[in-house]
Amino acid sequence: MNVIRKKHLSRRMLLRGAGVAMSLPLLDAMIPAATAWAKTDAKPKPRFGAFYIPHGATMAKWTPAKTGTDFEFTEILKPLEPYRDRVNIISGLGLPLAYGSDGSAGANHTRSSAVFLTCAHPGTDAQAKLGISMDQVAAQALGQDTPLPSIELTIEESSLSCGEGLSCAYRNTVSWRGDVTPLPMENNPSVVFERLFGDGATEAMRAARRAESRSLLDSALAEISVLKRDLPATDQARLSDYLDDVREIERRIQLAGQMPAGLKLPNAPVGIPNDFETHVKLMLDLQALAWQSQTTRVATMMFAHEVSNAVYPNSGIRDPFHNLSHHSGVQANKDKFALLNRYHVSMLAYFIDRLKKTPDGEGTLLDNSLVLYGSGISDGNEHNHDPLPVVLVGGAGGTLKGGRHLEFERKTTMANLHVAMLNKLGAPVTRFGDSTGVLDI
Amino acid sequence: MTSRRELILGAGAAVAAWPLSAAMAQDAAAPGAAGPGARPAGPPPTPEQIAAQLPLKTTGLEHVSIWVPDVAAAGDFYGKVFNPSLHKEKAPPLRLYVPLSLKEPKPPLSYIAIGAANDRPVQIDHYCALVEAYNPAAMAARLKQEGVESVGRFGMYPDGDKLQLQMLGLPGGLAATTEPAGKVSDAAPIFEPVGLDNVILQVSDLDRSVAWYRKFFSGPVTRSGERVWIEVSGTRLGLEKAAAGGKPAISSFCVKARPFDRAAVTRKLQALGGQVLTAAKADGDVLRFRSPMGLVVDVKGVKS
Repeated sequence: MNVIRKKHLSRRMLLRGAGVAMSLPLLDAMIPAATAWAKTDAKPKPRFGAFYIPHGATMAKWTPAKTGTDFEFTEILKPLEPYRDRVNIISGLGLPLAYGSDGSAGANHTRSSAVFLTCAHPGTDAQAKLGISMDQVAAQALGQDTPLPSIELTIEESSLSCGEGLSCAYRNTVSWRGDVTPLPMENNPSVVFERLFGDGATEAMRAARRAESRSLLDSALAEISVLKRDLPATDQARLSDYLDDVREIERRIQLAGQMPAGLKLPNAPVGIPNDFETHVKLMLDLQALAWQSQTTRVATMMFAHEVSNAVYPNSGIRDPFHNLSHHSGVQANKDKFALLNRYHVSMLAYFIDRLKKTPDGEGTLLDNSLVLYGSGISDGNEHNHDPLPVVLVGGAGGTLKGGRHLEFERKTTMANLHVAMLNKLGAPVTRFGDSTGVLDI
Repeated sequence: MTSRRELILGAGAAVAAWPLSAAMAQDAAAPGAAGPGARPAGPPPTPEQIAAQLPLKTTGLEHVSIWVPDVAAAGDFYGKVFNPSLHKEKAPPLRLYVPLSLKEPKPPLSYIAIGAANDRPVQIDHYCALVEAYNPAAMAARLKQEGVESVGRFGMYPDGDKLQLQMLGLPGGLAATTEPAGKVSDAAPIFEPVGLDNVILQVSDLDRSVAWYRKFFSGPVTRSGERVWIEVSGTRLGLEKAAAGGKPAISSFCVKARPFDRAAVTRKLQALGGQVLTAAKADGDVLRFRSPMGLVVDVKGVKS
């Protein structure tokens, strides 16, 4: 007689300590004995992430020459080539509602980020009014059984100047819970870390732990020890890797909060790194951990705000971001802007690599994720909104093929892509924003 | 040899005598009943007969069978899309057939068979090829040499991904176990169908599947992007690698129809709850829609 001995953990089990409430990654012990992953409640649901990059791209160096499956990666998209079988480059899309009666540069910038995920036209009343963004529709489908329905991340501080008659909410977030509910985006990794792994009910304990400079994990050591003892070897290894990642990120956040000796910076919030690359990688690692533990399955991130003049020294380009997007038709400027575009795509590739290396159910996080990366502007010099630079990465839980460059009719509204993505994420919508149909992706 | 039985098609008129289609009878047939796919009693097939089974001498793909939660609702939808004059099994449970021709059919008639999913997922359950001089016993023996056993009583052969190809003897078509089920609409259907064009399989290993199906179908093989086409006597079998982490499946089928106004049929499909998918430019020669049941169907305009 076969006797099945297997400790069973709840998928929703939390690791608790003083000021800690941490979700666990998916473990074999969460699957009932002798049951296939696919037939259990623990079967991973898809994760969705949208990354927004302002100012468009040098489209000639973004768009592959060939469509279909035998395209070659362009200079800008080259960092994604190692993940070719999970990449879909989507060409021909536009944001019709990002055009408006106010054709000024500022207004076009502001509308670009506003419309990217909402496909709704920004109002010019005193109160910002737009529409629900597609990530929040996804969160309604994917985020009702997770501690957080979604997380909204950014790298930069909020903009305070946003174009005449247009609310800064349009520029500071791409995520909207409803017509008049912009979701603030968080740029402080330590705040995000606490939100993901801290126990929101006990701020006093969290503060005490921080004051003692103790690791969040130290607070839960006893429970971790008991938990590990009863787990099979594969789960022990998977849990150890996960906790190591949490500890490493916590350490990097603490480091980021320390001033270099002799350096005096004015009023820098604690926990925010000084350079873009350190900062964005921390945020990307946090997002990956949040997805791994299914603390949330939906995330948005803005690499920068529209009209940002951030400088990215690690890219090798010293020109400010927005300034360089105004290339004046000079090829040398376009070439430099393409290098900057490629640098930003390399940050996406960093995230994709992490997803690919993270087990999730019977596959990887990359298999179960759908990542949208793109801009609401095509040519930064023109402030036009088609054709947009858009790329999808990930298998969306086995529903999305990769290795393709799909070109659609010019000016097809991006809302048609949103409907297609939402369908793949399990949200059975037929219309969204100004959609006129659904893309076959 | 399979006996020929009278087929009824149209408004109660007997128009052709075709053999029993086991695919259509499968839900209604009594346990133990023999269809053309079943192995008849008799002398065992000779080695020559066994060896001659593959590749198939086929007239092409004949029908697809789908499982849906609500058979009547699916019949209403597909009827209004392709042919409002449905057929059904005489005996319960309800199983409907949508002929893919509006005119008096000449065999082989293509059709969509609609059965109840019960607690199974909505899916295209199997597709069928018609075979000349079909010898089920010899075929079973031949496929056993390949390590494949028939599933059930109706000549259903799963590939390595458990996707089911059914083989039936000519001339195929609707069976005497069926009868007209009336019209779901007096209006003309959205399309004027003329038959089945292709069936697409999402497979786990493309090369392995191509090699497998080459044993059955000896027609030309072409590659178009991510898809491999195998010609099957005027119809086609399309093979694609399934998405990573995705399950192998019979993912869609394509119906040939008289040329149509894309915008007009889009509006009509949407009015019925269908969702028209916008194809990338390179794949734009068909109209693709998702039915309210969630199954994907392509329609290809043809002039003759």
